[in-house]
Amino acid sequence: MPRFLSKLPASLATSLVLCLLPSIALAQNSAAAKETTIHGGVLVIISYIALWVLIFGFVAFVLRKQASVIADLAEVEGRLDKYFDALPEKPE
Amino acid sequence: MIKFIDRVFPFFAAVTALLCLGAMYAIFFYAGVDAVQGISQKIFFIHVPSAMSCYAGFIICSVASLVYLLKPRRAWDVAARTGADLGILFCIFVLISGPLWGYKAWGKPWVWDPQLTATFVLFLLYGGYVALRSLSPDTHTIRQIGAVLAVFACVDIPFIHYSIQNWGGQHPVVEREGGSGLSPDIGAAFGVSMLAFLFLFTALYWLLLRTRLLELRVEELHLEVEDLAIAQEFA
Repeated sequence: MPRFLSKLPASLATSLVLCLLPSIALAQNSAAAKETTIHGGVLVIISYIALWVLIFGFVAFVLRKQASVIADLAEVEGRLDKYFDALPEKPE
Repeated sequence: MIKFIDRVFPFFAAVTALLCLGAMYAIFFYAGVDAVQGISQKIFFIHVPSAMSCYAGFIICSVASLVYLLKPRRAWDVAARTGADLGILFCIFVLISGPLWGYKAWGKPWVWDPQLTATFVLFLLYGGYVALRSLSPDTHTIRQIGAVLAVFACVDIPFIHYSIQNWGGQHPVVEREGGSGLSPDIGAAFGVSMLAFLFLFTALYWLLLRTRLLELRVEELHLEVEDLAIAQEFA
């Protein structure tokens, strides 16, 4: 199992807390500002969720990249092993 | 140096996560609700630090690109690409959160105000850089073209910053007129949020930079193994 998967539950819990915290905004005063059809709290929640989705998406992108680098490294190791196996053994 | 940063990085990432949670707490439980703008003003706490992070990413990209033009080492190019990627990430967020906040504050999500227009142009310029680098082969010529584009694109950043003073517009200037003009609780929450974003930016930058540097090293190893195989064939 990739190492980052073991940290998945903790990451999910953290992201859930980060995404749910802004929902407090719904209970707070939305008066003032311009009269619009959308509650100010909803706009706040959307923007905070968008932030965390972008950040966690970025982290997921980097983790995928890391996994591909690790796979590439394994391939280089394999090719190196093949090269050394093919070398004629030196007489002692 | 890299080994030392690698060793302290988990601790740094933990501090960043704590700061993010602390910032969320300060924004929603400590800072009061703005009397004029209402709850939608809470977007300010992430919109402004995101804009600062976006500038930081683009400035890193342009400075590293300039150094690459003077001293063409791949590491500078990698540093520039990483800065642009992170800058675009935060710029996209600025262009999402700004209209959401503007919808409540101005009654419409977008106005062709000088600062907003200049930010959109910045997004297009660095978006072009990111697209060029992602879609083109990684050759020295493409790296040079990208570096020149990044150096020129940087000129837009001071335009954004000083556009309000010079050309007016609807965008608020509260944090730039000497004293912040923020109430103490809002100012404190904003400070914590700025600090959290500074740490977050640094952590994300290092994460991607380190991965790209490793990728570069593996690419070099591939070439070395290739050379060894060819030499063996002819031996």
